[in-house]
Amino acid sequence: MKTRLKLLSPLAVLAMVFGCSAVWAAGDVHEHGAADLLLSSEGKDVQITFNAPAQSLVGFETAAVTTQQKTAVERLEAVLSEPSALFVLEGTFCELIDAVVDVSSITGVVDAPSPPREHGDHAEERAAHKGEHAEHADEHAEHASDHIDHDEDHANTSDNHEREHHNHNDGRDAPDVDSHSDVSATYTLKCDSENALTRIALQHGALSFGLERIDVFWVASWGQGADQATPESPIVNLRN
Amino acid sequence: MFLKVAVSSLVSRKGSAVMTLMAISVAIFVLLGIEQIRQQARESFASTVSGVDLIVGAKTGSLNLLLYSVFRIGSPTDNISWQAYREIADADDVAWTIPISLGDSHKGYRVVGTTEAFFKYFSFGKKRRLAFYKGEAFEGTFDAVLGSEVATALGYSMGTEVILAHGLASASFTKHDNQPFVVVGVLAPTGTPVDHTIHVRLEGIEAIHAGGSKVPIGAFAPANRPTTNFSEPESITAFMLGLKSRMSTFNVQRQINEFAGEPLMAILPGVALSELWQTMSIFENVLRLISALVLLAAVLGMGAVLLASIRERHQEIHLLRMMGASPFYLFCLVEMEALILCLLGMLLGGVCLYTALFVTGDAIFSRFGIYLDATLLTPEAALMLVVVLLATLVAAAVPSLKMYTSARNIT
Repeated sequence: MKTRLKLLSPLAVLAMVFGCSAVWAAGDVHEHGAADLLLSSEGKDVQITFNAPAQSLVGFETAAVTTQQKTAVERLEAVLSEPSALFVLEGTFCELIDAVVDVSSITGVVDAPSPPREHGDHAEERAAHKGEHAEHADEHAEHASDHIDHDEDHANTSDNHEREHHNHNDGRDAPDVDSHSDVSATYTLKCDSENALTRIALQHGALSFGLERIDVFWVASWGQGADQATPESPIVNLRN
Repeated sequence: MFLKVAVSSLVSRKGSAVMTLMAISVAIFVLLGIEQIRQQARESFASTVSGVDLIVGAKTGSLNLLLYSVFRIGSPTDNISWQAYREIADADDVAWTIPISLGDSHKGYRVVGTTEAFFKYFSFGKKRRLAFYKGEAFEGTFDAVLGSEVATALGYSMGTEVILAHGLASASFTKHDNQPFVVVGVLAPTGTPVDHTIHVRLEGIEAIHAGGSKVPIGAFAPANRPTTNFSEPESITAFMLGLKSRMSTFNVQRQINEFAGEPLMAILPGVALSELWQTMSIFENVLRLISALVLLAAVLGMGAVLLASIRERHQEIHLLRMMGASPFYLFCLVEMEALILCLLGMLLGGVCLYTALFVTGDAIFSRFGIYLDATLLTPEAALMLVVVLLATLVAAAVPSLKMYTSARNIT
């Protein structure tokens, strides 16, 4: 068993030389050109959060002011609302239950803080939102204007959702024109089989923004892991 | 019919066929063995800590935090206040925590101050819990539980008194010799850094530091008696935590990283471990290279033996030609023989390897700290076997061609 320690001493040196500068703390680093995809899986439930710098997705990090910027934000919301265009899970079929897109950091809408809601209320709100989303999916093609209205609802919902986080997190997510802004989307999925996911394939939608890479982190019954997806290599093996 | 001829031909040359079969079996044994070691060394390393959702320490590099909290290598940048620890440990999402307090040693082995939660929740490998080889978990302030390697190397057993030294050097000047700890348990081997660690209660660490190393501590905390009114430590080095639901991992990680009270950092141990392993990719590549060389030697060896056997087979070639066999038939015959030998070699080598792993798995683990489960073929090993088959066909092409030309010369 001495072998292991002997092995670890040079390993420590190697780690100091090569690895220590790398920060793998998921979701913490704002780096233009790079996004995070955080996947948690438990039983049949899967939750995926996609975080990216607004700069990389829409080309600006302040509140949208011009018509062109507002259109870009609307287009982004539409893309993020359709996760099938962003990623495909392999290993089992997973149905989208809920999608919450948060672009509040670049919509410039800063509401007065409201008291945090109880979880029960929040769950109801999400359920209502889920209905909206399903409806949205059905009518997506025909009702462009409805779609925008829907997105506004969406934004409001995620605003509320975010405000709740806001209370937990000391206002980290409050829009701030002087700082970097992130855009995030959280997807809740229900899969057919338990712990059967094998790979996640990033789709054109996720990579078309000009992102150089997406850091994928996962926590699941089979363990934790991380890997990078790039436009050249868009598939990440979750069983690494 | 064709297969029957090939088998009969091999049986008629039992001697050389068995020699070739042995050579291939040994090569397959070594090839699959190396692949198994590569795969399982990686898995074993990746599961040095399993079942722990997050490791929390002062803000530093993720690898540094992993190295000092799990591997006891390097030093922490700062401590975590007890208050911050309690605040996080009491959060709704958190199911359990294992505090870790480092800084003392005994004859070069690190001492970890922790709580009973360590024995209850810490797991390694495939969610294996810590087991006691002798004794039980600590109860009293000055009880100590030894890792298996510590007990073996220092020859300690139950009841041995252990004097801790301040700092990490094996010849430290500051010894807490006013209050020795008493060994109450020895852990079974785990193949992880736990084997090289002495575990004591957090209270014990606090107690020996309470009034300076020379002040009698008996009045402060009676030895080997559970203490209920012990004052809380001011700080700890790091802590591991388990969550009620895995789904909240990233949320809790973010909340800890943005903790208002002090600069803290939470890492995903599985991610940090695999990152650390990636720095060792040269080790994996060396094993792959060795596999490739073994494969080359085996295939070339088989080709040579088949080639040599062609010389002995003039009569057989004559006979088969007289019976109407075409030169191409004879070419295929040698290829088929090579294929049969190769498949038999794979079967024999594989069976021997898995039997050996099944029988010696525990011995290998206690000697080298690597679990070598007799698991089924991994995709990489299966791919290797396919490559072996193809390489066999290529290597057998030379003797087959020789057979072909010999056959053509016989009209």
